[in-house]
Amino acid sequence: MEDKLRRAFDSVHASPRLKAETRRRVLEALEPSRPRLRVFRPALGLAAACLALLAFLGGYRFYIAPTALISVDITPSLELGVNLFDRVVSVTGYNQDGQELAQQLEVEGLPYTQAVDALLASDTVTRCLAQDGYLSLGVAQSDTAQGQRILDYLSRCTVGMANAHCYGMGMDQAQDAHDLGLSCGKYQAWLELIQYDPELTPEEVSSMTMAQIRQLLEEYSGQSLSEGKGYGQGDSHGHHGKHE
Amino acid sequence: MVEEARLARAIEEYGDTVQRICLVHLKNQQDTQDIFQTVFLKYTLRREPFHSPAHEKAWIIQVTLNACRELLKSFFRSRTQPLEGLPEPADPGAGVYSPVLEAVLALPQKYRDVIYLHYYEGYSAPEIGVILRKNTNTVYTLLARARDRLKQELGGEDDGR
Repeated sequence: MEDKLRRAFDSVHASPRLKAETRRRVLEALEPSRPRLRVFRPALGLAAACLALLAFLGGYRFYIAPTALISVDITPSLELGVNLFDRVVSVTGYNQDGQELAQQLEVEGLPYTQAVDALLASDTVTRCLAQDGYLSLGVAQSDTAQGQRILDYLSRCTVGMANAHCYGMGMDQAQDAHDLGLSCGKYQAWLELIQYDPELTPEEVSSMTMAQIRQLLEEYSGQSLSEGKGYGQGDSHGHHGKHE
Repeated sequence: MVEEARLARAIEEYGDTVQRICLVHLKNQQDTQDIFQTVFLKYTLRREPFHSPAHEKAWIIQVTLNACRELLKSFFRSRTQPLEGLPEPADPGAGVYSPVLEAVLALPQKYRDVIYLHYYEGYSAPEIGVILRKNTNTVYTLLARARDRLKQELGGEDDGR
């Protein structure tokens, strides 16, 4: 029986066609995995690099986004953008003097406290104050804890300073000011002035010094602002310097 | 290229063995093709070296048996019949076997395996027990009953081991 069975099974063979088809199918089944691996690894690396870049860019954008603005108006008008970490991330001049001062100041990246100190100690500001200029310091986004901290600091900085005024305002008002090409301090002054002279344009206010604006307001109101709380519709706050 | 050569050699060397096991288990040529693909794909993907040609052949037999069992257990297969692509004979002679082979194929599955492994592949009862995961005594019993059935069917004389 063993021989019979052996002969019987010996007669069974895989056909050449079956073998060839098997070879083709197996190679075909293996084929997709090869290029996929080759493509996958660089693709994975590229995806990781993109993610890292996005994280970096996202973090960078987050870092450079100002969460508060410090507006400085004297003869120059400029603004310091302050990020969430209390660092100055931008310096923008709103008139020619402001642009020149912005270029002179190297305060980007510094804590806003150091930047404000440097600004107030600059030759331009001290000279303007010595020439009977008027300093207006404001904070946009003053309704936040950071804004309050900044406003408190500005108020402390101007304690004992003649001709200085501090105020706070909302970021939406700051945006309105920028839309008109004005710094925050001059925007507040313009809002005050147009109550007396509706024809007054933002451009006219932009070209005036803060001392001129203050004088004009005194003329319109018929009273000395040194007795009042200063001008502006913002939420005036903190120290008001010794007014003229 | 090395993989292709290795695959070609294995198909040439073990194709007949896989075909015979498929014959013992399956009646569908399409299923046989699937088993061939499964077995030789696993073979190509296997990275561990074989200790010997006998080890390699035993692995092929084991994998083929497992593939056949898996196919027969398949939920889908057990409940459906493909409407299209009905088995197309791989060669014109497929399905025409000798009376001895027909007698073997007429046996219940449990007998077909042991007959093939013992009388054709030459494995002993303990070795078949390992391959089929059965007790050695069970294999002896299956072999004895299979022989009896074949004797009755073929009227031949058992000269088995």
